[in-house]
Order: sequence, then structure tokens, then C-alpha cells
Amino acid sequence: MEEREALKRLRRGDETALAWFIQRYTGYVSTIVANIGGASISRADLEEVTADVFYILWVNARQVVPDKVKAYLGGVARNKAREFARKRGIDLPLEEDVLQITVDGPERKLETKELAACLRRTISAMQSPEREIFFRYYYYYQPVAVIAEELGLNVSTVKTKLRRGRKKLKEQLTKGGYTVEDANF
Amino acid sequence: MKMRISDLMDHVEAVPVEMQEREQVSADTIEGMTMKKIKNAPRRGRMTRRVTKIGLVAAVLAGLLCLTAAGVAVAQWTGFALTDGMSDWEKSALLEQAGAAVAGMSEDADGTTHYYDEDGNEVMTLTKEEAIAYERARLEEQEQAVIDSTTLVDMSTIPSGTLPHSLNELATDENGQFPAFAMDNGSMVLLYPEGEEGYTLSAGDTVTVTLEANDTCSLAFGVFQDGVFTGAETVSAQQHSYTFSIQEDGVYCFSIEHFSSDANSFENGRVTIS
Repeated sequence: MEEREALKRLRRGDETALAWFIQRYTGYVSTIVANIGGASISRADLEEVTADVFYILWVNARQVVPDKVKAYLGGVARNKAREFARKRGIDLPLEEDVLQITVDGPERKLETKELAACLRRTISAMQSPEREIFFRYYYYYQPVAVIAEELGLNVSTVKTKLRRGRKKLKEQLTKGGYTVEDANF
Repeated sequence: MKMRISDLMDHVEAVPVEMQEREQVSADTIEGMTMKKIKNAPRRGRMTRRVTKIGLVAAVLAGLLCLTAAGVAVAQWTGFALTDGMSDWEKSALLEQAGAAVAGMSEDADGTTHYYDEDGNEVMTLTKEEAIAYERARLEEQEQAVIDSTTLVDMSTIPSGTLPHSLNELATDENGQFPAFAMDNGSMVLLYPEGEEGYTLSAGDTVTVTLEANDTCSLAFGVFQDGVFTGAETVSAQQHSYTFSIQEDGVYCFSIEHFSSDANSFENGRVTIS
């Protein structure tokens, strides 16, 4: 079965289509969930969250855009895994993840939408493989060593590219009138 | 203020990457667990059969008037969506799609009406008389679909011409919470307790419905007593909190209908009874 056909059937409530997606993407979804859950997520919880992701695919099949099912599942897996970690009080430590941001001028407030827009501009200006490395690390929580292995790069190269990505983000935020420093929670 | 880059990534469109699948989770196990979740799911977010301007009704009317109706693509946005698992970016993208998804129509000076699909292609042209009959048939079919969509309440007790264009049932859990969702103008959700047909209440009880919208919007909070619609009141806010005072013993369901022009997303919904 082709994926477009499977999605059409899924939208009509065909459980065999759902089974098709589960067989195809369980490895992908569970890998993302495991990256985010880390050592704190048990096998039972990993299976539970993974099944939740496919349940959401079933419920929201009509909202999924054809040819973007994998991206959709990746996004849901990330969100459900983060939600799981939040509910269990698990910290999701990524190195060099935190920025101390202050706003220039007393009349201006820190707006998440503006910050997010700066981030989107930064990412869209990134070249490959920098953008992919940035996503693997900050979106999918892949460890640096795993990113290096899968992309055939040195660990130090991956770290350099992440550092470069952060620097570009800081430049965008500075252009937007923010003062930015590295920080820890 | 401290912010995480990984948190800001919530506002970015997901990009799939080809990562090695390192987890040995059995797909068969996941399949079993997912199917069980589907079977055990409470009646929540059950979609009405959404009748679009084009498509089913056009085909019916075409049969009556011997016209040829063009097929149109199914819109991605269907008027309602559960938003559990969506990032902020995905919710925003869905709501943007809602703004662009409505098929359009235009009317000439002589009443000739042109209907367009989501891509702006003209799919049907009707004379003034045909358009009046078509709109009447469309409305009747749509209202009947809404009436037939639930057995919790009698939707026909809402005055004709004021029924919502879609209805979705949302079950509240043991804590009174209901799932996050998005809906557009004219859509309604019906709140009821999971596993039951309504809230069994006594005179003197108060019921408060709270939910947060992504933006200020107008919602009509309504009540059905023993299946009969008794009225609604419209409120404009972003943080919604509406309290019903129960005057008589009975079984109640509560409705929320959307009246703002743009679609909105809602979260942290709860029904509290005291």
C-alpha cells in the first residue's frame, strides 16, 4: 500500500491502514520518545507514549497533510514525550539550551511570538547540515554523539555547528532588540 | 528571563530527519495497545457528518435539477479538531488553514450564484431560484445531520435556523477535564461526563465551565436539561469562565458554541460542580 492510499483509508476509519502506519513508523516514533525520555522512561512508558502517538494519528487523521505524515508523527512524538516528562517532573537537560534574554527599553515586553519568529528566521537561513544538526539536537533531543555517528561527522564538528547555530540565533535576537547571554537553569 | 531554545522550537514546523531507529519496541505490541485505546476511548470528539456546500448536497440537488456537480477536494480543516499532541506552531498552522479553507460563493446582480472550491476554482453556477432551493436543501440536510449526530440531547429543541453547523461530543474525565480542541465559527461542542448520558444535578447546584482560548473570542455557553435546550448566553473573553445556576433537578449537558469569525484553539477545559 502507498502512504497516500493508507492515509485516505485511515481517514475513512480503516484500522488496517492504522496498522500499516504503526508497522512503518513505530521505530521512528519510539526512537524520538526514547531520546526525550532518556534513562527516566521505562519500557512500559515508552510503549504507552508511542501508542498514544498513533492513537492521536487515528483521531486526527483528517488533519494530517498527505506526504507529511512522518513530520506529523515526529512532532506529536516530541510533544507527547515532553508532556510525559513534564508530568513526571523529569528535567530535560540539553547542554547549552538556555538563554538569558533581556529586552532593550522599558516599554517593551518579552514576547514568545517574537522570539519564535527570530528562531524561525535563524533556522531558515541555516545551510545543510547545520539546520539538520540543530533540529536533531534541539527538536528531537538526539545526543551529539549519535548525531555525529548518523551524519558521519566528528563530535567536535557537530558541537561547532551547534555553537554556530546558537551564535546566529543570538545575532537575530540582538537585531530584534534583545540582549542575549548563555545561562543555566 | 531564561528561555530554552528547545522550548522555542515548539513554534517551529516539524522537519522529519532520517534517524536510525534504535529502540527495539515491537510494532505488534504498539498495534495492540493502540487498538485497545481506540476501543476503550470514551465518546469524545465524535464528528458530525459535515455537510459542505459542494459535494453531497450538490450531488443531491444536481439529481433534482439535472445539473452536473463537480467533485471538489476534501478540505484539511473540517471545522473541529482535537489538538492534543500539537505544538503551538501546529495549532497556529491549523487555525491559519481554517481561515483559508472555507469554500466561497459570489452573487451577480440578477441573483446568479457562483460556488468555488478551496482553490478558488468555480465548481457550480446556479440561477437565483436554484440557489435559493439549494441553500434551503443544504441547510435542512446540515441541520438534520447535526440532529442525528447525538443521542445525548435533542438538538431539534434548538430553534431551526440557529443550529450549529457541526457538533462534537466531548467527555469530561473524573476531574471534570475535557480535551484541548480547535473549532470554527458556528461549531459547537457538547460536554458530558465520561460513561454517562449527562450530569445528574440538583436544584441549587452550580456548574462552572472554564477554558482558555488562544485569543479573545465569543462563545455561547448553553444548557440542555433532560435533553432539551433551555438557552445560551454569549461571552467574549480569552480566559473563559461561565457559571450556570441549576434551578431544577435533572440530567444536564452543557454546550459551547463558537461565534467569532476566526477559528480558535482551546485548552485547560474543565467542568466544576459545586
